[in-house]
Amino acid sequence: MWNCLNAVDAVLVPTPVWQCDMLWLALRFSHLALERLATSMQAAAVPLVIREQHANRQQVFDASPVARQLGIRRGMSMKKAQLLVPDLTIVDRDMGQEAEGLEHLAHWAMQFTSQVVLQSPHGLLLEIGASRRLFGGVAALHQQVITSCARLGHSPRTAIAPNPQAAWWFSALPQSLVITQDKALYTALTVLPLGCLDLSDKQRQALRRMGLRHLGECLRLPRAGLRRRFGAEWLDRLDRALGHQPDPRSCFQPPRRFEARLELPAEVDNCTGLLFGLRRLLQELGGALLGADATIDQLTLTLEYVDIPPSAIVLQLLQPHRDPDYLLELWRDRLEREALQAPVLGLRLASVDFRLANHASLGLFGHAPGQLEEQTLWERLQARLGRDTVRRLGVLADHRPESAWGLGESAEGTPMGQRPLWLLDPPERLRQGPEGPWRDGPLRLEQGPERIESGWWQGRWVRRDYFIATDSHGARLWLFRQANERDWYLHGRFG
Amino acid sequence: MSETGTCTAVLVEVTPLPVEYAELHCLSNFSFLRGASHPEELVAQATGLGYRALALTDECSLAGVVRAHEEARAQELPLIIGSEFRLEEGDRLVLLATDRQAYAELSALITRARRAADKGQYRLAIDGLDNLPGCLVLLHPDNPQDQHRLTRYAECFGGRLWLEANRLLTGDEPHYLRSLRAAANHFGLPIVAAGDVHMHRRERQRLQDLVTAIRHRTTLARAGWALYPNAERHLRPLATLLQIYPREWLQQSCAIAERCCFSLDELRYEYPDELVPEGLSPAAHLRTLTEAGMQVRWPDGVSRKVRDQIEHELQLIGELNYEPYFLTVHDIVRFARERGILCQGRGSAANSAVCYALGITEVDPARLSTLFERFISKERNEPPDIDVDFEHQRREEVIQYIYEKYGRHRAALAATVITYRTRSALRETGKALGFDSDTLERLATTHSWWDGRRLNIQRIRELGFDPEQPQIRQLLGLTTQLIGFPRHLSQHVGGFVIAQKRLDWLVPIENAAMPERTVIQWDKDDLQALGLLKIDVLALGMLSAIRRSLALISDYRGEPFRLQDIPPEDPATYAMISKADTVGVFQIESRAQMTMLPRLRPACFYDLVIEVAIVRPGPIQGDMVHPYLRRRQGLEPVDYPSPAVRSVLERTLGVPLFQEQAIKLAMVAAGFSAGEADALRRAMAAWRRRGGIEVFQRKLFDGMRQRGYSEEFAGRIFDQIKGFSEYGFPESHAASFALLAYASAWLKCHHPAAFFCGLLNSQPMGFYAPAQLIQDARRRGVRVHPVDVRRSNWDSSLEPGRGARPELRLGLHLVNELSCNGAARLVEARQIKAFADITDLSRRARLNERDLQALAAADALAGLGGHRYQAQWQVLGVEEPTPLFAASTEERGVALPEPTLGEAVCADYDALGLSLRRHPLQLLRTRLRRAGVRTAAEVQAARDRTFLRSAGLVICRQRPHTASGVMFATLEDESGQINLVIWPKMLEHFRQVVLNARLLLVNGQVQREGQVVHLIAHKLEDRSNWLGELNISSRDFR
Repeated sequence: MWNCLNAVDAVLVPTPVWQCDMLWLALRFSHLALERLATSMQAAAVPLVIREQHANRQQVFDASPVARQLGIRRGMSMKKAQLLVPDLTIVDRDMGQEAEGLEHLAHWAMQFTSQVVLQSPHGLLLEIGASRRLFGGVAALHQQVITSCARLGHSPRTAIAPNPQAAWWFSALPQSLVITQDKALYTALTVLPLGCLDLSDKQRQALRRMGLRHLGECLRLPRAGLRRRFGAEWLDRLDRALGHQPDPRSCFQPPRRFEARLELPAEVDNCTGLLFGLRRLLQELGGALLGADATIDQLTLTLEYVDIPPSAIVLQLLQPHRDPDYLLELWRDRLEREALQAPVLGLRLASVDFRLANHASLGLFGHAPGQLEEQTLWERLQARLGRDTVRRLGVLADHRPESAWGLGESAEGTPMGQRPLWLLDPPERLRQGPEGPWRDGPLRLEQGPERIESGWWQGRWVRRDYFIATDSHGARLWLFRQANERDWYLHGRFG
Repeated sequence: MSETGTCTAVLVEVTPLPVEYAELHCLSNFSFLRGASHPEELVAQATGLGYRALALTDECSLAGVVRAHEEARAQELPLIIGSEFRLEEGDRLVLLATDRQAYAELSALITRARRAADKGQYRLAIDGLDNLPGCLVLLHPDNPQDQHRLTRYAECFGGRLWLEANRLLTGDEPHYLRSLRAAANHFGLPIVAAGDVHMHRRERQRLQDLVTAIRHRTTLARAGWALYPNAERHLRPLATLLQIYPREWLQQSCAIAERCCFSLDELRYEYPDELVPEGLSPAAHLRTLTEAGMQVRWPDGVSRKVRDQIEHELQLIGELNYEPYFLTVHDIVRFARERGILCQGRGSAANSAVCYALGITEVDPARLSTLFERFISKERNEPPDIDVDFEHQRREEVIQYIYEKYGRHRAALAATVITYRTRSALRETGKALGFDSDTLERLATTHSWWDGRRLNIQRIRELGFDPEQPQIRQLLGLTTQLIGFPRHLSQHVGGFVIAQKRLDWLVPIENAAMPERTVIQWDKDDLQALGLLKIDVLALGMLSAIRRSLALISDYRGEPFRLQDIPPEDPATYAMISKADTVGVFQIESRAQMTMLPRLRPACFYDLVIEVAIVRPGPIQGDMVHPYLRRRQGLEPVDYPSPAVRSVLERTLGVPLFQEQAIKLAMVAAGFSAGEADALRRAMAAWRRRGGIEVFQRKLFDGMRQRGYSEEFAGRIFDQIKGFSEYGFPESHAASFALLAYASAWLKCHHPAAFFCGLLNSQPMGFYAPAQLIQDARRRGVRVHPVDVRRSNWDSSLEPGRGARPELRLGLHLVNELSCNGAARLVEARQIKAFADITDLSRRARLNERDLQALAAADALAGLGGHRYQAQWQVLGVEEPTPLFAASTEERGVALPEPTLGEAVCADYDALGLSLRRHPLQLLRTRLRRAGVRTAAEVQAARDRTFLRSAGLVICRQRPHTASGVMFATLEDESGQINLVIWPKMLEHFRQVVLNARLLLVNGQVQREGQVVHLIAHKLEDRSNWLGELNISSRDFR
C-alpha cells in the first residue's frame, strides 16, 4: 500500500500553556501602521494620516503626532481633516501590511519568551513568568522590552498581569500597570474603565446608557442578569480576567515548511505514475496549508532513482497558491518535459516557508473567470517553456502608430486604416523632390491623406497626414507630413 | 479633387469657385459628453464661415435647440431643427424637420424613443420609424452593402432619403465611401455631404477627447479607439469642403436646407380649454369666478377703487388672451383648498386684485395701495408669472392632481439643465487626465482659484501648485472650458407645462430619475424664450407649519381659524419683530435679518416687504442697505436727481431695492425701450452664467448722460443692477413672503404654543434646530413637557394647561433612532389600554430592542420604569415571549444609581438633541465664572467696545460669500445667544478651534449699534472637553 512517512509539522497543534505562576506582558501597538510608516519615511515632521474606508465614508484611521497637533483625530472624516490641514499627506490603510508587521514583532518578541500570543490586529501577549529570572526580574524585563521596542520605532502601551485577558485590558490604560499578585488584580479590575474592554459598539452604548463606567459597577450586578443582557461569552472573558477560569491561548508559531516523502509501491518510469504519487503528497500539503491558513509560492520535488543520485525539480509560482488540484496541473506540465533518467522509487516534496494567505486580494467572488483562464494559460506556458521565454506582444489602443503596439495585453479592436507591418524608429526624413517626396526617385502618392491628431495629453502630440506611396521599385511605403510643415517622413513599409 | 477615396495628394492652391453649403449634421454639448461646443458657439461659427444654414441635430434630443434658435435669430442664420439617432440595428440617421407638422413628428418620435428606455437613454429600431411623413432623412448605414436593410429604408422614406457622406480623413474612409457610392447607384439615392460635427472649432479637440474619456469612464491614456483619430469633426471653411467633397454633394446640402423652413417661432402655446364650461368664453368664465370671489373677499361691497382696478386687469388679461392661464392656476388652487392644503401665490401677476379675488393670493392689493407697478405689461408682452407655494409635505398631492386631470401626454415638468460646476468639472477633468484623487481633492475642496469667470493664478500658487507647469495648465484650462457644460437633464422643482392637446408635439418628453415622473427637454429659460407658459408648483415648509398651527388653534378654540382670520397690522406683532424676537418666523429669522430688524423697526406691512428684500446678497453687494437705513433713520436727506427717478424710487426712499425698480430705472433714466428693458432683465438673470451684461453698460451710461445724470449715479445704478442679477428679489415675491412672515410672526406673538408645535412637526425646515425652537418657546412662557410614552404621540402636541394657555408636549418624532412604525404601534396599543410597565409596553406594541433602547435613552420610559439607567437595564432584559419559559423571565430587581443632573443633560442631548432640564452651560457656570466668563445676557447688556470673555455652545457657523472671508458663528448659553464675528486673520489662526469646538471660549470686544450687539473675536479656545466631563462629574451641581 501507499506509505506516507515523515510528514513534519504538517498540522498546527496549539501548544499547551502552563497554568501556574504565569505572568503576562501585554503590548498594545495602537499606532502600528503609523509607526511602520515612520520607519520608512521622514514622517515625524509632516502631518500624515492613514486613511480607511468605513462603511460609505473615508475617514482617518490614525494620524501622526504633527497631524494630531493640528487637530486631526481618529475617526474624523477625511473631508474635515483636509479642511483642517490642506497639505495633508495621506496613506491608505493596508491591513495585510499591518498583519505582516505584527508577525515581525512576534518574531522579535520570541527573544524574551517562547510563548508569544498574537492579539490581532495590533497586540502581542508575552508570557514572562517563565523567563523573568533569566532577564533579572519583572521590572528589568519590562524595561528591556520597552527599550528594544523603541529601537524598532515602536512605543506600545504595556501592562503586566497574571492572566492574558487582564493584561490586555490593562494595556489600554494610558499609564503602564504592573500587577503580579492575584490580590491586587481584583482591585485593579474594579476601577478599570469599561472603555478598556474590547466591547462591540452596541455593548459599549448599552453600558453607557445604564450609567455604568467601571468594571466594578458591573461586577456588583447579578450574574444572571448580566449574562442575559451581554451574553455568555462576555461573562466568560470576565471570569478569565478575574482568574476564575483558565485562559488557554495558542501561541504564535513561526511560519512552517512542509516536507514529506512518499515511497512508491513500485518502480515508476513514466510521468503518469509519478503524478499518481504526487497527487497524494499535494493533498497533504493542501491540508497543512489550510490548517495554517497559508499558501506557498515555490515547491521542490526530489525524485529518488533506483541507482543514481536523486535530482530536484523546482516549481516557481507566479502567485501563491494552495489548491492541490491546481498545483497538480502545474506539475503535470512541468513533468511532461522532464525525461526520467531512471526508474523512480520515491518522491520527496518540500516547500519553502509558508506564506500567510492574503485574503484581502480576493474579491467577494474570487477572480473573474476570464482572468483566471488567462492566468492559467500563462503559467502553463511558462511552466512548459521556462520563465523568461514567454512574453506577450499586443496591439495597443492608440491612434498614434508608434504607440499602437507593445509588450503587454492586446486591446480589442484595430486602427481604422491600413498599417504597415514594419515601422521605422525614428521615422526617416525624406528629401524634397521637385514635385514632392523623393527616395531614390520620386514617390507616387496613392492614397491619403489619413489624418492623425492625438496624444496631446502626454506631451507627445502627433499631428500628421499619412499617405501610402510607391517608389520607383514598386515598393509600398507609408509617408507622413507634420501639420503646418513641408517635410516628408518615411514611417513604414508594407510587406 | 474629383474622386474621393483615391488620392487628394498635395493640397493645391485653387481659386475657389463660389460654393454654398449647409451643415446638416451637427451635435452640440447637449449630446451629453459627445459634443464639445455650446449651441450658441456653433451657430456663431457657422455664420462666420458663411454657411447657408445650420441644422442642430443632437442625439435624440431637442434640449439645445432653443439656445441655438435665439443665437440664430440674432445672427440671422437659418436654423434647422433635427436630431441624430443610432438605431438598434447599428445604422445612424439624422432626421430634419421641414415644417410644423414634421417638427411634431420628430418631437413625438424622440419622446417615444426616450420613454422606452431608462433616464438618459433611448431605444429606437427601424420598425419605430413609421409616421414620419414630414421629415427628411440622412442615412449613414453601418454597412452600405447590406441591400436588404437599405431596401427597408428606401421603402420607409421614399423620396426623402439621402445617403450621408462624411469626409473626416480617417483610414477606412475610402473603402466606406466606395461602398456608399455603389449603394447610391444601386438604389438611385442622392448623396449629401455632412460633417458629423462635434465642435465649432478645431481647437476644441482636446475638450472633445476629454468628454469622450469621461463618457467612457476612463482616462485619456486608456481611452484608445474610443477617441476620434483627428480633429476633423469641426465646422470647416468652405474652401476646405470644396477640396474634399464633390460639388454635387455640397449642393445637395443646400437643396435639403431649402426644404426645411420650420422655425421655432411658429410654436404657439395653446391653453387647456376644458376648464371653461360649455357655451361660455374663457373671458366670461373668468369674470364669473372673479365676481364670485369678490363677494367672498369684500362681503360688505367692493370699493370703487377696487372695482376699477379689477375691470382694468380683466381688460388687460383679455387683450393678451391670458384668461386660460388664470383659470388653470385657479383650478389648481381650488383643488388644494378643497383638500385643506395651504397655498400662497407669488410673482408679478399673483398680487393682482383678480388673483386676490380668485383666492390665488392672500395679499390684499389694498394693503399695498398704489405702490405696485402694473402687474403685467402689455408693451413688454411678458407672460404672466405666477408661482404657487404649497405645504412641503403635501405638494405631491397637487402634482398628482395635475397629472391626473390633464394626463401625462399633456402635462410634464420643465427640465433643469444640470451643468458642470467648478468642483465636478475639476474632478472629472483631473480623473481623465490621470491625476490622483488626493491632488484633485486638494484643489476641489477650496475652489477659490476660480472666481466664477476667471482663474485666480495667485490662489493656485498658494495651494502649492505651479500654474505654469504644463499638466496643471492643461488641467485648469480644460476644467475652465468644461464648467457650464450640460451634464444631464433633471426635473425642475415644480414648473409644470400643460398643453391643450399633446405636449410631445411641442417638445420631447423623457423619463426623470424619479419613477412615474417625466420631464420635457427644455428648461424655464427655453420656455420663456419661446413664450410658453409654465405654472410653478413649489413646496414651502413654512406653509406646512402655519397650517398645523392654525389647525391647533382651531382645535382649542373650538371654531375654525384660517389664514385670512389673522388680523392685519397688529402693533404687538410689529413690536415683537422690531425686537428681533423672530426665531422661527418665516424669512426674518436668520442672523442677518435679526441684526437688521432693530434698525429697520418694521411698523407696517410694506416695511416687512422691504425687510424681506433688503437682507439679500443683491442689495448687500449693490451697497444699498446702509443708504436706505440712514435715510430711514433720518440721518441722510432723501433726494432724487429728477422727478422721473422720484416716481420710481420714492417708496424706497430713493434707493432701488427691487428688481422691478432697476428695470424701470433703465427705462425712465436711460431711455431703454420696453423690449430692451426686458432683454436687460433676462441678461441680469443669466450674466453670471453666460456673461453678456456689458453690452448694456454702455447703453445705460450713454442714455443717462444724455438725460443729464452724473457718471457717478450711472455707475451706481449699473452696479446695483449687476448686484440684482442673481439674488435680487422682485417686489411681488417679497410681498408674498412678507405676508407669510407676518402671519407666522402673529402666530408666534399670540399663540406661541401652537406656533412652535407646528414648527416642530414640520422639521426639518428653517434656520433653527428643535433645541433652539424649544428654548425660544420657553423664553416666551410656553410650558414644555418631555417625551413620555404614556402621553406623547408621534407629532408634538398641545395639552390643556393649568390656565387658559395650552402647553406643549414633545412628540416621539424627536427621539433619535426610534422607528416610525414602532411609534405608531405604541400609540395604537396605548389607546386600547394604558401601559402597566415596560414588559407590557414591549409586548403589546411589539417593539424591537432598538426601539425600546431608543425610548429608554430618551428617558421616555421614566413614567413606567424609573430613571433612564434603570429603564435601560429593564429594556435589555426584555425577551421575546416564549410560552414554555414565560415564568422564567422574571428576575429580581436591580437598583442602578440615578444619573446626576450633568449625566442626564448629556444623555438628553445624545438621545433627543435637546434637554428640558438645564442648559449644559448652566451646569458649568461655577467653573465658567471662575474662568471669568460672562453670560450671553451680560454680553448683550455690555457697553460698546468693552473687552470681555464669554462662552457658549456653537450652534451655527456661517461664511457668506458677501462677507469676504469673515465667519459668523452663533454661540448659545442658558441666557441667550451671542453673535460672534471672526475676521479672516483670526480664522486662519484659530482654524482648528473654530472648526472643531462644540463649546467655545472667546475673548473679544463688544461692538454695539443700538440693540444690535456683536462680539469680535480676539482669542478662541476649544473647551469641548468640559462638556464631556459633565458626564462624569459628581453631584455637586444639583
